[in-house]
Amino acid sequence: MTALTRFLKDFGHFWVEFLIGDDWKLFALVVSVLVVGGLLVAAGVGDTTVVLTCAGLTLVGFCAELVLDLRLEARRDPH
Amino acid sequence: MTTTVWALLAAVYVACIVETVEATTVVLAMGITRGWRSTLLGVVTALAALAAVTSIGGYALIHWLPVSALQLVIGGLLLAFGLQWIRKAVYRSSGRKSLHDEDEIFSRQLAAAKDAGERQPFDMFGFMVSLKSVFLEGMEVVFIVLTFGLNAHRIPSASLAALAAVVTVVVIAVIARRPLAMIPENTLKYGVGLMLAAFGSFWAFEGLGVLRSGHVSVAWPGADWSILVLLLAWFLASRVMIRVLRPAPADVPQSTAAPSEVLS
Repeated sequence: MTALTRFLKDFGHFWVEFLIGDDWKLFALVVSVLVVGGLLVAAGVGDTTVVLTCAGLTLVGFCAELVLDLRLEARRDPH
Repeated sequence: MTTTVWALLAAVYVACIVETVEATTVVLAMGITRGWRSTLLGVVTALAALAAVTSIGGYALIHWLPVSALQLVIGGLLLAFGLQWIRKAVYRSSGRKSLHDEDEIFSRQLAAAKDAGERQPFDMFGFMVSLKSVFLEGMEVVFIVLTFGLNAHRIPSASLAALAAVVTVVVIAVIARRPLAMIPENTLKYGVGLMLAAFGSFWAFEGLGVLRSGHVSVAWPGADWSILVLLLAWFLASRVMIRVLRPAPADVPQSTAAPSEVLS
């Protein structure tokens, strides 16, 4: 593999890691919260309810994701 | 300038310090082992590419997207970016992940450079490694400068804050002539992660207004003051998670970084 090919491969890998990161679940969380927020806005829900719902969902989702990872890790390596 | 703008500039400055320290470690290792000519040429090439990307990206974002769409896209990316930084900080603080250690990275880069064969008059290995490192770390700086700058309509100030960070790190590196392990990078990353998540949430949810007629941004109660509340909320959530994730003392992996940099 030439240095240029390696650079291009690393560059592509960088963009995936840059946008999605090393945990795709967090990226999925952000997208899901924005979809929920979008639906609330489209339904004509008030601004305060929209932003507080989205912020609450993101915080709870983030904490739940870390706990889920901990459980998955414990299941993979019980010791 | 308002408190929000100062907070933005501080976030850009600290984020750029972190990214520049990481790039400087690699550039130092390449310069020492493979020669400074090809290494510095790699740095200059990367900086030229970054300048082009910033100009084109900034122009496209400003001229093609309505404000609320800009807030949604940029805020969403910033939030996703911030959550990754907080997640790593929580893992590092709870002892589930080793701290980022510039000395160790420097040693690894030195070993790789020595294994890469004899130096040529123009050393392609040193050139490519320094170019890649500066470009990839620089892309994160560009992203942060563009997002913060565009949303606050302060691109020149954000660029100056980034430049000041680069100058700070380069001056320290030239004086120290060794990897900048003394900079509390893990703590800085934790702080930047909190700010990215706070500003990202604020802008992303404001930007949902792009979906209604007139594309008017969604309003937060308390306007800009909500950013402080979000910052506090993310800080508290991260502290709770550090406690929840902290393993029993026997399970904690040995860290190689300075004890003073342990976050809690």
